[in-house]
Amino acid sequence: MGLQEYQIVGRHLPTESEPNPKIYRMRIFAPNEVVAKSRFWYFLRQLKKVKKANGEIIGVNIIHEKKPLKVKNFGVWIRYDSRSGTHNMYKEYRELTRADAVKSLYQDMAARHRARFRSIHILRVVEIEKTEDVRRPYIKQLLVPDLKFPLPHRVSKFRSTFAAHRPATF
Amino acid sequence: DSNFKRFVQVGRVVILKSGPYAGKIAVIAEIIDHNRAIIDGPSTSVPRQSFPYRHLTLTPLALTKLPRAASSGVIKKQLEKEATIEKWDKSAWAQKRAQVERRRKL
Repeated sequence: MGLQEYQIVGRHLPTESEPNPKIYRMRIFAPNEVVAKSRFWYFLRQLKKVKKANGEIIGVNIIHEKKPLKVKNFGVWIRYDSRSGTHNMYKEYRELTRADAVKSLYQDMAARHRARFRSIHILRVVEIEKTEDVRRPYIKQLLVPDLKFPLPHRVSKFRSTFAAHRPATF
Repeated sequence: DSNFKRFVQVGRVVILKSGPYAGKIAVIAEIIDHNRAIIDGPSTSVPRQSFPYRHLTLTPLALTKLPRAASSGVIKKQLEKEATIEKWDKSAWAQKRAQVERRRKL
């Protein structure tokens, strides 16, 4: 179940004092449209005096990845709530699409920091163009030229309890 | 220097173990990370995609001169230049696989 990137455009409902309210646009990562619209209101409420009851969503579009077969290095800036405070963080992922990178991020934050979807704000997702700009060693190690490694001691699944020969591990 | 003979590297020929293209040959075009690679088999009708190593088997064959993240066209040309698919079809491994398949169909 992957995440999608949505472009959500919304505004306050027009009133007599403000017949043409400002229109706001957000890029939201969510599993579906419903969650995307909900997150849009959550973030917009924090920034402007508007809520779902007195606002309207004008447009919802899926943002597709421009080059889904190009391997990209993404740097992601987040703000998340831990059990004792809220912190900023910068993480890097090597993925094919922005949505994949954000999905990996949520899984990673859940595993390493027990942070749930609701506690994480994605501030920025940026494709790192130049290899020198990569900051984390766990990504740098995959960017060395002529990278090669074996798959040592592969254990394959056995179909029966007894076999005539010991397995090959390569 | 290394005891290992088959490496995950750009240009390595692999057999797909599962999925809709199981049993087909492809070439590693780029390494994504320690779990996945982009594979491409333009002459064996395997579309360019990300694939996990768990569902791949490395073969002893590899293209020697393949640049990283080469496009399908470049891979196709290199495959034809080094005649890798023919080398694979002549190998004992491939012939054994073909023989097993023929016997199953009888």
